[in-house]
Amino acid sequence: MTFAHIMSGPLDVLIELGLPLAVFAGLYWWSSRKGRPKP
Amino acid sequence: MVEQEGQAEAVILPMTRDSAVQIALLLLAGALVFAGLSFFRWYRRRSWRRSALSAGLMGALSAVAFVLAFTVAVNVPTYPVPFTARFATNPTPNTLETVAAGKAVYERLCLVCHGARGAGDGPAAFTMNPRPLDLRIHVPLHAEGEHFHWISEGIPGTAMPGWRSTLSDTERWQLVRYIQSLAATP
Repeated sequence: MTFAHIMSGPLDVLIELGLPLAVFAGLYWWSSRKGRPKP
Repeated sequence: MVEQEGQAEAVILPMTRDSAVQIALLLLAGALVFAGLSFFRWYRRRSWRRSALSAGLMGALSAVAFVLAFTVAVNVPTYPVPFTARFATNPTPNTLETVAAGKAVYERLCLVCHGARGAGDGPAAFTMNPRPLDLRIHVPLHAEGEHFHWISEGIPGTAMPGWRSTLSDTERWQLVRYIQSLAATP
């Protein structure tokens, strides 16, 4: 693993871990919510 | 760097290849989770289309991150630089006067190790382990903010000292202009 090498500050952690996690969380929320009932 | 007419500067993503690959792998892991989830929902006869779309989207983003990692990301593992520092831009004008000012500082403080042409062959270089790298090869591979950070703070584990207390911000940015011009001069 290369975590120790590449992460050198809080913003790095935010970008390198947080960005993919945020994308995942957003898509999980979108894919799990129920659509509008069809008329 | 003093640009010649018609000569474009190389595009460099101010991020190491390791960083971009790290992001790509995490996105790929997310895509696989969504793929499993959509299969599970399809098997249970639940709504699975959005999960499958999410898997595709994360897969596509992962592919983009991989492409960036192996095209425009910095591909040399180096002493880490804070993310904000990597994006710092040079406030000094890109002129011959700036380069000349940077050269004067370079010849006073840097030449003894880095050599007159930046080849890492200064008189003191031969006593060092690790030896100074060839700036003409390595400077174009990094964002200017990285050079400024290394000049300011030094590089732990090497003989490179930090010059923050000796040189002003302007002088250090002028140095960056000069070493970029060294790399650009054949």
